[in-house]
Amino acid sequence: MLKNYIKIAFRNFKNNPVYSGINILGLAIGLSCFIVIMGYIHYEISFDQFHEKADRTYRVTVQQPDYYYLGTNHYATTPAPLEKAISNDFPEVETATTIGKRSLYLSVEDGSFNESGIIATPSFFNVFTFPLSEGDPQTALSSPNSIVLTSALANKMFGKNTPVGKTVTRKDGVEFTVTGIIEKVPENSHFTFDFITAASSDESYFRNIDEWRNSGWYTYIVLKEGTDASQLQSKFPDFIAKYSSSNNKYHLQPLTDIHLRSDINIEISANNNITYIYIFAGIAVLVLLLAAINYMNLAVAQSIKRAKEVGLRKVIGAHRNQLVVQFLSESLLSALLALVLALLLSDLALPLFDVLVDRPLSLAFLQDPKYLAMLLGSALVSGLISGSYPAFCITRLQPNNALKGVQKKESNHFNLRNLLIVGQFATSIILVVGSIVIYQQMQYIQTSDMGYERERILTLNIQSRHMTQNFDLIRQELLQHPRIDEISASLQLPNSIDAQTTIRDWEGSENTEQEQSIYITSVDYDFIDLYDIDILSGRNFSKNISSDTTEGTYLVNETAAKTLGWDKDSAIGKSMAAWGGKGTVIGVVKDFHMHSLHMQIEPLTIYLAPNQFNYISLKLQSSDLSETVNHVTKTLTDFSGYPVSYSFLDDAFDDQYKSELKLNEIVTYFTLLALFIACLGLFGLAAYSAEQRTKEIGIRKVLGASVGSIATLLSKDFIKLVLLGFVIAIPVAWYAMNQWLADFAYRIEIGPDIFALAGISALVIALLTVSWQSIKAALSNPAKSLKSE
Amino acid sequence: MIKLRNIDKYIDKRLQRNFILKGIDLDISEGDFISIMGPSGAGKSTLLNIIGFLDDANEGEYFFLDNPVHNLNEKQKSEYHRTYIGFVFQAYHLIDELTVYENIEMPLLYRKVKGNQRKSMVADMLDRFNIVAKKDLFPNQLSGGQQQLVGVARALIGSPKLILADEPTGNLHSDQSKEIMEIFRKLNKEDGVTIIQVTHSDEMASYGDRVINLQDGVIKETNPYEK
Repeated sequence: MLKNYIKIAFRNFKNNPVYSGINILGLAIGLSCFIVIMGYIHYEISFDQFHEKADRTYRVTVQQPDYYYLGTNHYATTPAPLEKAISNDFPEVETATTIGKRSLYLSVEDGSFNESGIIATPSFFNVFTFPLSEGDPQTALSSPNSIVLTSALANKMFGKNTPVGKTVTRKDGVEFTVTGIIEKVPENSHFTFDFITAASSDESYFRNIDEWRNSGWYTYIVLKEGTDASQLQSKFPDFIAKYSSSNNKYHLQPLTDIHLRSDINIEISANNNITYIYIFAGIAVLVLLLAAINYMNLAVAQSIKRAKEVGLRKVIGAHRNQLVVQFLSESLLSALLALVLALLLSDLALPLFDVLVDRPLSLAFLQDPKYLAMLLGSALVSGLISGSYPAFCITRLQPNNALKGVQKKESNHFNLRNLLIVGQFATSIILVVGSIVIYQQMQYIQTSDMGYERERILTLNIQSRHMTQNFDLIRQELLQHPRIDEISASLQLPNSIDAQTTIRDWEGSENTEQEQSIYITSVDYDFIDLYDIDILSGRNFSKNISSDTTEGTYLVNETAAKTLGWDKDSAIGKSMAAWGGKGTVIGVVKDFHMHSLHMQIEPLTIYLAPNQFNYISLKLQSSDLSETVNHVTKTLTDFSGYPVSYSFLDDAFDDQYKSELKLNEIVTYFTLLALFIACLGLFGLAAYSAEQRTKEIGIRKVLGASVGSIATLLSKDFIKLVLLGFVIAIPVAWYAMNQWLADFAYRIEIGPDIFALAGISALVIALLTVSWQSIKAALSNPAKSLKSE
Repeated sequence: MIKLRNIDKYIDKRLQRNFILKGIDLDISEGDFISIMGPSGAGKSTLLNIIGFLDDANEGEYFFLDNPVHNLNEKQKSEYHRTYIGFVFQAYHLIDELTVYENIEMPLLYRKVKGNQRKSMVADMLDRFNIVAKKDLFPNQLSGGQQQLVGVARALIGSPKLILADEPTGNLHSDQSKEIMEIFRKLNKEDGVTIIQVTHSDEMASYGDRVINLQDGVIKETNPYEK
């Protein structure tokens, strides 16, 4: 019997290659989207799970109630003495470690390298699981001046020689002894590094070892098994009060939450956002749903053809449940075929997706039985659901009705198939609207006036004191190059000014206690000109006015002027005090976006400090850009003796929207896929409907209907469904995309044009899909179509 | 074998009830060869469908081998289909995706007949109808008459006690029709199979021994030969 079912199933495939192909291909595409996104999600939630004690490791974070910075008062960094205090005071803490981020110039006999790594206290390897291929984790970081390298860096430094015991020299001349080699730092770790140096040899850490007022380190603790983290956290206020008089609140954040659920200040590296995981999961489910709907739709369409077979089998003596089994096994079979195809497809697609999301993904995650079960489950459920209509509805027919073929109600009424098409197009249109909104917002960000120039500006992060002291010399040399127009030195770059201070006692403040937090940065004489920042009133810093350097002078932005109770004209000459000491406001600059557009423009003050800077900005001419860049880096490298790293400001600007740009790209691709799947389904149904109505078309043509009128007749019904889908999609898409845009302080409004664009494109695509079939049917020879009866 | 009492079949249309069959009383004994005749729309096929459990009557009682059919559930009906009844249709109703051999074999599959026995039974049938050479062809590769032979073979393979044939020769030319009717007569005479056929043709009706005349859903005269 089973053999008979399979035989029938295969012959059905063979006889209807278009339907079966569309059916299986559509489901396979849906499933492979699902697989790919599932792989991505699996990878994202695997962050930091590889540590043996991951489930009871926590990072200590600090909330500083009065100190808001970039929209939050929650910080990832803690004071250096916390590790020791917390381990001593709480028996439930098994072990703790402190780490810090360091970029170092490291020299060995064969050369010097600019590497990024971390400093860590001796217990580092008790908290984190990074297996050492050489050296003893218990002692690797316990003596000062020890360094642990990754095997990649060890190879780079020492080639094939045994690195352990060798010496590595830091730029300031301090020598480190290699005490261990880490095989590999997994990429799914929320911090990565090429080396670890003993924290005791870090000057800054050492200086702050008993200082509770400075935060600059990340403290991780491992709790003894069975310890309740929230209970421990409730003991923190008393614990902190013992050591420090601040009103800071300490929190415990699970290690495995850091990558996806932590968005606080001074993270050790940029994290992902759980919202994006939800968005991707949503897209995966939607695309799979679309494919399953397709599959069901075509199965329903085809099943009407099969009614005759059902009737006949009943007449011959088949029980209804035998027929149910037959149909379900048929759809399961094609679902399994689709699954196999989907695995092949996703194996091909994964490398492309890897590039898109910048993650090393592979199908290996399917070895996890949970995920394999999920995948098999979704394939089987899609198969079962789509097979259920023919299995349960068609087999219920009276045999004599079934033998006559079609149920009467089929053609004109609003039936299941139509409902599914509406759902499918509603979903596609929601996705289309989503990708248009994301695209427009990205365009808005990239084209809107930030208030400062960002084209052709090369920026270099300068760490060498030698260079800051000799900046005039460097500037003169660089300006001799014909394609370097301007040079400026500043503490920060205009797209990310993140230093903040609190000012009191400005002219007009209510009393001496009134405080105002304000962003602050220092620049040289050329900064305002180079970045083309508008001065609304007053003047820029000037070399010709000697009091600018001898007395404190400030520029403020419009928002600061307003916040301090001035306007742009009255602000000039007002007194205030910030980092530069007591001074006078000499100008008001137009507001510029010193953070990403997620955030409102906040008060800013700028003071003059030509010799206190971290960045050099150069305005270049557009011709021969790479030659100019080479010239700059060579000059600076020659000068400092170390390689310098540079970037263009517009690239750095784009980096601030990396996750949105990524989202934009991914959503666009999946929207296209979803539309493709929806069209596959529509195409199949149009073909089916044209075939169903072959006789009707023949008769109409014999009676003199034109090709146009027949094509319209056949397309009309489908177009109505797409329009209905559009109507349903509008409110959903509007709500969802407003939620997304709420995250931006500066944003586009979702206008009717976006919906019109989405609706029209869906309609045009649907029309093209359907009309091809309709026109083909309308052009067919009526003699042929009528002959068959 | 078959006892119909006051069978009604109707369709309700808004205010009006359209009767397809009205007050049918009919007794058929084992071994009868009956032809149902009448103009188009008289309810011939409906009557045959009700007799074959393919359709339910709205009113009345139907006893098949003294069992009340109006009380049978679907499963019991398919049991009767398996064991007692074979159908032959005007449109043949072969499964397009199956070969001649497989079409004939299908009822045996539902009857859970063992593989070897199935093979010999199908081979017998193919032999009996001289279609051995066609066994691997698909229905659309056969002529109408050949397709109907396969249809008859399929109906007979389960050795039914009753054959219901709805215009079995309606799509065939006269030679083919005669061939089919000869087979029916032989089955009726030699094997004692009860046959009920719907037909428009007096010639085909003459193969049977009793004619039921239907007009507007009512049986008019049970035996025209007595006229």
